[in-house]
Amino acid sequence: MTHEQAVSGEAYGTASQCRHYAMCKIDYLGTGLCPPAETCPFVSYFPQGRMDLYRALNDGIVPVTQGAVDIIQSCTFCGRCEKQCHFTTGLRPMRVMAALKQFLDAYRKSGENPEQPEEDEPLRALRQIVGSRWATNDPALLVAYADDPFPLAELRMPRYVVLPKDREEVVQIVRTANHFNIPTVVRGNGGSVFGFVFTDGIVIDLNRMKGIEVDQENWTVAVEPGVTSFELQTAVSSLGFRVNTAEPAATVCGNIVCTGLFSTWANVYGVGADGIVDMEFVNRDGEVFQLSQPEASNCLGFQHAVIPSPGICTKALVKMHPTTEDEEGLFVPFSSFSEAVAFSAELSRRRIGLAIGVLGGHYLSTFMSPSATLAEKIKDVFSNVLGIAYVVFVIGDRFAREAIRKMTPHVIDSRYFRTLLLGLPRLDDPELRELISGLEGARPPYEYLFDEETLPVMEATLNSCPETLAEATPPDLRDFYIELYSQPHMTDLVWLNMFRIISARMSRHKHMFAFLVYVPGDRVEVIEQIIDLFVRVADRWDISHDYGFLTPIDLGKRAILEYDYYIDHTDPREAAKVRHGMEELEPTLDRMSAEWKGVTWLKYIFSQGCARKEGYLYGQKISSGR
Amino acid sequence: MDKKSLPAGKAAKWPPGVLVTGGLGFLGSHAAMALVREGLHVYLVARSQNGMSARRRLDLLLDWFRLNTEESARLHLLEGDLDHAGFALDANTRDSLAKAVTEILHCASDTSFSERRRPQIEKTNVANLDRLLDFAEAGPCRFFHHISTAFVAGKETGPCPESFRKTEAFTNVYEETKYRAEERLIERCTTRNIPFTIYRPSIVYGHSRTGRTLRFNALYYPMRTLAFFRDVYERDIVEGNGKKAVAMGVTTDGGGRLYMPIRLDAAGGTGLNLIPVDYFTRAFVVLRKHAGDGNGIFHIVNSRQTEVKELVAFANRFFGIDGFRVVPSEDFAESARNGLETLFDRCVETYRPYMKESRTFQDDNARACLNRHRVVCPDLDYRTFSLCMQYAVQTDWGSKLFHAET
Repeated sequence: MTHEQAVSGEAYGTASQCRHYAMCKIDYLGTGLCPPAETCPFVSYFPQGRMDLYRALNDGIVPVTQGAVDIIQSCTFCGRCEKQCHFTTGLRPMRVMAALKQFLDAYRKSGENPEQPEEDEPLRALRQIVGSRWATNDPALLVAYADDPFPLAELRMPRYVVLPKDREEVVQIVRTANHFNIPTVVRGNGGSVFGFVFTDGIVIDLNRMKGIEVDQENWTVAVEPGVTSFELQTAVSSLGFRVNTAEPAATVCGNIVCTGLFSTWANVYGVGADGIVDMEFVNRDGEVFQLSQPEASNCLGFQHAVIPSPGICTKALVKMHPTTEDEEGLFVPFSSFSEAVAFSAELSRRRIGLAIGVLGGHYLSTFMSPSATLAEKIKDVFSNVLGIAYVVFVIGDRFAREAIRKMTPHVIDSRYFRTLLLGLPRLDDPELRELISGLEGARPPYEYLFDEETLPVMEATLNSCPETLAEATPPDLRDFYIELYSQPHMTDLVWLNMFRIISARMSRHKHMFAFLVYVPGDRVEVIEQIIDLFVRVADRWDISHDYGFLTPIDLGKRAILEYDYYIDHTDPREAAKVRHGMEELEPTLDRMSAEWKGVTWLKYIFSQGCARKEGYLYGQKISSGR
Repeated sequence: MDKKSLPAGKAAKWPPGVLVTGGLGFLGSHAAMALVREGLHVYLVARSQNGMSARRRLDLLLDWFRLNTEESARLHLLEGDLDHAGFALDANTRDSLAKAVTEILHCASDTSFSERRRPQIEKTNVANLDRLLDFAEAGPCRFFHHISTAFVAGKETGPCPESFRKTEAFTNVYEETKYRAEERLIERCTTRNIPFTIYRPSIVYGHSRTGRTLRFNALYYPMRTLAFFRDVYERDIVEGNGKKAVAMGVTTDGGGRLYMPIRLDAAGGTGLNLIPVDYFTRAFVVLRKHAGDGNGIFHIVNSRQTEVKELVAFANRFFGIDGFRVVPSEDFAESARNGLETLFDRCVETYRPYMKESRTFQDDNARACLNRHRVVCPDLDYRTFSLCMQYAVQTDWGSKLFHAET
């Protein structure tokens, strides 16, 4: 193999592993965004799209077009993608960017000319609506909208991609599509990674619609569909508010419609319709309606079925919630799942705390660790050395934290969290592990180590500082990580949980296939049976898996459970395993839903994210008969 | 040598020998090697552990003990598991073993004090003994040797006799399960007329002349903890800005000694009863041969208890520390523990009852035999202590046990 082939192979491997979480589309580390993509926000111009383009060019899926040339040439090698991507996935996209340039150089030397797709009538019509710059049929741009790591969907090249700037353009696009009988899908950032946003027709990418209007008096904010959770949270937090948002790169409107917004904040802010004041849609006929209109179709009602979305959301008016300056995060460790669940439900019932979640060792170690290798080691330390199988994570004001300390003496508070986080590599020190393993008392080791008295000793032991944490990162990125972790918000549990920038790390070692199920929060035996089902099926098909999280809702009466399968999405055999697994899971989950009140698989909530949660959390109706 | 070189198949005849359980463990390996050196055939039932096969574990031990070829040839490894019925051996192997075994030396033991591991400890220390006794009763086994502990005396005070005494209160699950094992052993062996000897060593540390050991718990754990924190604060002073050391009152004299203010609540008490592993081994060999026809209980202990403050002085001297000292409990009422003292205290929490020991161990039975054969327990002086700690540091407290000497 030549050096060029090796480089190309490595770049191809990197490009293939892109998780499509769109983290490169938000400036979550303060590095700035990909410069050409800021002015030309087709996905194709972002690092994610460039990774897709490299793979597609190598696989011969797309020819070299003028669009491809433009995309490749526009890269300035600024290195921002390297930092953004490595923080979340551990990938090094600059290799792909360099490989793209090499590809183009080789292409030019071959003497060939790039193709220029012809403009057809539908494209002409679309360009008349949005401007020639914002509608395309160039395969190099289309391919970034053609697939994602979802293992159960195939690549589907759209015919066109169009980026409208406002509602009126959306209306005209829908009517035009209907006129030409071309199907459409709408795309936020595609971060759901469920294979939803693909079509043979027109992809309507809403990323140009970035309007945010804050109404401080009424505690509401209107967002257009291109606004991401991160962008919205940034806008409102500076004003002393927070919004109940989910994944940072997901568009707020798309997230609401697709699954409803849920996170650990659901404990206090609810899910579904709870956070929505009004929403505006363009329906399939190109007509505009708002949920608040009496004559609008009843999107607030839930149907236990897979149904299409009400339309394209062009604006959402959502609630803002005031924050207080004394909010901090903490963890309460537990050795057993049932104890952790019971504690979280108790907190919820007593209205103690804002965000609440039961996290397992896998989530905790992955969130905290800047590398997958360290995450694996730390997971072992938490579970097998410290005796922390689960933690109940809470964000609360000082009154809530005082109440929690009265309920349990063993709390990893924000200061201790910072100590652990910044000293994480040293937690895996063999000598320290041996020392902790030698703790022979009746209590789990974490009870001996984590309190205010011993904190200064642990700070010294772990040498907690950004430099120590950065030891787990590649040498050429170390200065970046030292500077990053020197910023206070990077160790602030409140900020991290509001902006969720580390949650995408869950897919760092492999693509994550998440199962989300609403469950009866006060019946841990039901929850354990559901988890057991996921475990059994995964083990049967040799699928890597782990528990995700659980958050109480409705004072703990209900909860949302996430269980995750992990696969190499580039390996067809892994996709086949998931397919087999789903064949077992689907009917069993349906049966569980029928058997146990409060069990609802998220599959039935897709496109009904605006619905009242009571419809799917309780599933009860008043009989119409007398 | 292992089972591969023993005759195989049904009714295969193996040389008579001693079945040793726990033969790859600390005391068990020393006893097994001593028996082999006495010319006996020894059968070891052992399993893989921490990803290492029993074969590999034995090979490392044979190197460590420097057995010669002839001696090694009398050591037979059977890959099995005491946790399972029939020791997870196939029927032919079990049958051949049962016919060959003339004595059983039961050393297998879980020495953890941790209450949270109670089910595992009970299984190893009590349930597995029953399984072994089933085996003993079914074959021509003439003698059962049981390695117990002097601390089966439980929470008694004063002199503890070399006899089985009913006790109900124990310091920890280890003492309790070893007591229950003795009780069970005596009951079953008496009923079945199997002569037995119970050996009760006290706290065993490394070799008195070389410092070599295979286990680094008990005496070693508090020392290791001390060394660990010394290293933490030394690094802070040398490589960092020293602020964390200053905040904890840790200072250096510039000449290589570190002042670490750690008070140890260990005043009062009779001291620790410590014996080196070479004394345990010699005592076992002599008592096995000469201690009579059975049903004897022997304390393999030191005639002198070592005061905790003496060990603390040794530790300070060896590790280059000042400030580590023994104080009475009242001291903490006057001045609360600092964070370092709190964490150190928690680390050694399970050993604290032993630091304030009020038990002494009568050993008249053992002495009567051992004196005849001039087997005397050496004193734990600073020289021996430093040899043991040097070996511990050299082997990185056991993590480089089989590499450090090559």
